[in-house]
Amino acid sequence: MALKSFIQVHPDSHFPIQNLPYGAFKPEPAAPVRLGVAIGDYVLDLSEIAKAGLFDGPMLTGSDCFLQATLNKFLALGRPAWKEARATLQKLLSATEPTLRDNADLRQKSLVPMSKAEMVLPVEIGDYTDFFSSMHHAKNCSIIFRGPQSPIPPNWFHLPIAYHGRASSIVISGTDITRPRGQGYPAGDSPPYFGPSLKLDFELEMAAVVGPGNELGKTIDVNEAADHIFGLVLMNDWSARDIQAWEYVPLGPFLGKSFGTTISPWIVTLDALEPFACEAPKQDPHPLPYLAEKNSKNYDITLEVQIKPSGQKDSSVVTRSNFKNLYWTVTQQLAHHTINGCNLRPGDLLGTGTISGPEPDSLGCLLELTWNGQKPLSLNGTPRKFLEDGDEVIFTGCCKGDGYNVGFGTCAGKVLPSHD
Amino acid sequence: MALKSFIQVHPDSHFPIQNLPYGAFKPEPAAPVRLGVAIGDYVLDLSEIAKAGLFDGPMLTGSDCFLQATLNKFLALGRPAWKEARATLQKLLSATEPTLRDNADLRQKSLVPMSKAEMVLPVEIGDYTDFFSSMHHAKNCSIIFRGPQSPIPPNWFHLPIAYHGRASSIVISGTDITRPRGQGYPAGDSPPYFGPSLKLDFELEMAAVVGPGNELGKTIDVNEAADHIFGLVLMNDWSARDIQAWEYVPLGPFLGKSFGTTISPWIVTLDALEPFACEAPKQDPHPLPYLAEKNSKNYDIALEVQIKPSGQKDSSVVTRSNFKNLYWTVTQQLAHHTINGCNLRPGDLLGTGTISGPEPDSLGCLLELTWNGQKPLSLNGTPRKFLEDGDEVIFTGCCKGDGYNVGFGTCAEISLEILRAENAKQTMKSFRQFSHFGYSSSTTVTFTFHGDHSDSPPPPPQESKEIPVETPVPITVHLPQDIAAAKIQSAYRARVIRNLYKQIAAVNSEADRLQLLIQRQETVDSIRSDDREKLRMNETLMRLLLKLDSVPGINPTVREARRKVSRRVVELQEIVDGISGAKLDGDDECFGAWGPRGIFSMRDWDKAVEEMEERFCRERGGPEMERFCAEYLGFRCLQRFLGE
Repeated sequence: MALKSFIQVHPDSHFPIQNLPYGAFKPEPAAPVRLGVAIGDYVLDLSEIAKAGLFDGPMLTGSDCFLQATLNKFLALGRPAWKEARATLQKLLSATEPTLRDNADLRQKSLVPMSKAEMVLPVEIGDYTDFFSSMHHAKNCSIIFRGPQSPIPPNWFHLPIAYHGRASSIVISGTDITRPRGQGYPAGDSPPYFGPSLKLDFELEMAAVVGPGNELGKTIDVNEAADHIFGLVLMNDWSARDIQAWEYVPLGPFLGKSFGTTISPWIVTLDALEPFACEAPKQDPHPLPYLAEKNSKNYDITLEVQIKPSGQKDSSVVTRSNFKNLYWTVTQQLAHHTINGCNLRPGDLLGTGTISGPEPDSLGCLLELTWNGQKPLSLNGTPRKFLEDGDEVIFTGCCKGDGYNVGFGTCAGKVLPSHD
Repeated sequence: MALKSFIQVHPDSHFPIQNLPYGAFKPEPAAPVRLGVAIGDYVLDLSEIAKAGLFDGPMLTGSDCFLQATLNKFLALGRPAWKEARATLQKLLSATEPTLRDNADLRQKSLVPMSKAEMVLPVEIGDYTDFFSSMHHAKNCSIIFRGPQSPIPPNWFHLPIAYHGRASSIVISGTDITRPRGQGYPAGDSPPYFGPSLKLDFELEMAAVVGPGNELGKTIDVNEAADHIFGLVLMNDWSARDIQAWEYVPLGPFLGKSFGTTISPWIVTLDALEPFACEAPKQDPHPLPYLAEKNSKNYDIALEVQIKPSGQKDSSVVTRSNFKNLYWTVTQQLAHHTINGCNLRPGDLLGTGTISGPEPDSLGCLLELTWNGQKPLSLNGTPRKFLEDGDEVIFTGCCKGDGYNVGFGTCAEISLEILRAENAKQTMKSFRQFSHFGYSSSTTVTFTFHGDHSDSPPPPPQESKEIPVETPVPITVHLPQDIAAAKIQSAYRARVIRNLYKQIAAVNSEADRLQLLIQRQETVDSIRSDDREKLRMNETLMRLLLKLDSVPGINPTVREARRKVSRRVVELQEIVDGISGAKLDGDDECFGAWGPRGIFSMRDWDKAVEEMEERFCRERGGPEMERFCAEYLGFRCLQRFLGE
């Protein structure tokens, strides 16, 4: 019989007892930040559960990791603590367990309606790395940025290419994004274009949240990498294509990306995603030994992007993709990241890169969908090459289980006009 | 009258009262981290000063910003607080102010000997950005990574190019760096190389530490950018060139850099650097309005890189550059960084990129210095293409003031106590390397020999001089003014001679490289088959002769060295002529020139110099030579005489 909570959870909800994703929230605008897990339409305040002494397993008894404003301390504890917390919470929330169910006072204190909770960044992100792991995206970008003769660069099949992104400008879903200003390619001999970006884009990504990590100079084996990944979030790696195209040679993307990156508020754990694991694509050429996994896993997570133009009542779906379109797995990404001895810290974020699929309607950004603005999309009749001021971009991600979902909620942001 | 502290500060010290750089330290291994400023050989514990209520200005009274383990809170307060703290500390440490000077208890509590302090990272670095702001470096990298046809990318002159670096692996000077493993370019159709990096390199950089910063979505005006820069540190952006070359297309450097970045422990404030501000290079094309500064400033900071191979007693200077070689200023870098609305936070680090100058010995990394390993350097006779295990890389940075330095200390895997001795020795290094004159550090007179890069006049006579005798520990001795003046003048002459020697030495090392190049079969082939190649080589050699010609022969030693190197270059020209004239079947003859009979092989050259030196010593005689060395070189030529 399927696990069931004493809290009513709608079958379409992203947050049944099988999920229990972690986040950080303020129960009221002026209140200090609490840690919580989502259950149906509620947030369970973990600080109240901890204070009530209900985390009574060997790893978490007496720990103050749930009395913090971020999950970093909990992340540093590693998988045994995560498994223990999950077991404790699933038991506590189950329909058959009286401890919380029958304690009105504790229920009152610990269950906050999601509509009242203001979500904030759940982790302090020390470093944010963005990979480039979808083959379809790599191929399309190569053609668009470097011409139709450009194949995927030869290194791409040998290593998960990545760059360091900007950690300071990572914001929580719902935060407005101001259109960046910057330089674009000069036309002919004139000076470069300068002004608000004319090619503002989204990128459909997910990101792994790092757990314990490693010391500087040490590496993490690819077959143990999963123990260093707490979970996944949705991520919109907003990109200004005109700024990016002019600045990215030879050191890669910089101001074309650093004006904002949005993540979803709920971290869905790898444990919750485990039922949706699927085989990763066959890799040819065979990866070098340090990237060769005994058991190479992707996850079947359906992803969707909607754009809601300012003034329109409805949003339009512009992309349907899937996490399993990634060529390089998140565990390969993490192992590669440490092979040179680079230290990962709890809370670091590893973006997957844009997740494009093979079909024309599974492309993960407007650059690809409109082929660099040459083929406008139609949003309920409104043509769209790149994002316009007022557009709201909404990502959703969800795994379909047998009678339940394990979902990520949404990752949304609205474009504001550039200053001056 | 110059500001002076009641704490004795050696004139060579990087940390006089004019500097007062900020750092974080543990007074004892188990103690919690404190914030401090460096003063001479001491660290002033700011938590003790704060607890004593001595930060009594309007910005800092009652603030707990100096009771933290990092400077971030102080950085967030902005320039008015920084200026107030500097004024308070300069007053407190000045010779005329009794508050701290005459309070034995507070002195005892607040002044920690630098040798006892363990330095730690002074800021929590949220984000680290690395720019690419030296034109010489950009040009050389373009050629090395993308071929001789590659000019500097066109965007380079319009914006300060940068990438995001790894914040987690930034470490404090003295931390060992483990050679990274990774993938390198595959040879032909085989899989990529995998293993320890074969091309480990340093990059000579400095970095700006960000102050208050900006909110997401807001920008910082370029003319206000200086208010958001607290100060500068030295930075070594360790790089694995083989990993970098294979991974960097199309998203830039990643694992080739992220295994470690070393910064110096002391943040020298822009206020302390202000006397060393100089004009920034003219920018053509004119930058866009958001990058156009009313007052575009660089700083005259002499930079030096030394490598000390494992097992060698001495380190070798491999680079002398200067912060003012940067094309884009740090304020332009900061303004550009925020133009898209990206938020900077207190403690963020903005690296300048490798600071290469135009001269061959001012290149900021081995990639450039050895031209991607093609022209090895000689470290006291040990060839070096890229870094080997056990190598210590030591950066120093220093501004020469009128009678004082404003320095950065070191950025190295070497402790500060060793630094002073290293510095004293290094001042003579270029001469010694070239001439092979021996010296003994036991009687080193170091008092003004810090000015290798400085064009400033010698410091004026002072009432007292500190002269290290027997040991590098400074001892104050009082000299009559005329004797002090004579010593200073002789030191100045020695400095001029050393500078000329340096120029000759640079030509000589260029000749070394050309000789190695000419010895290669490919070069022989190309000179033979292509007249343009021959012409190019001859032109290069001719340029060396012209450079030698421009060195004034104001002293017999300089003249002799100049003659010797000129002769050598002429002989290289003859070899080139010989190669191109030789028939294809004359290979053996051609290489015969490099055989034991040839006088131009490396060993013979060293021997020739040694003979020249010996003759020189003999001609001058023992006491005469000793006097000469003491007067012109600042050390006694004991070693040679002991050896004989």
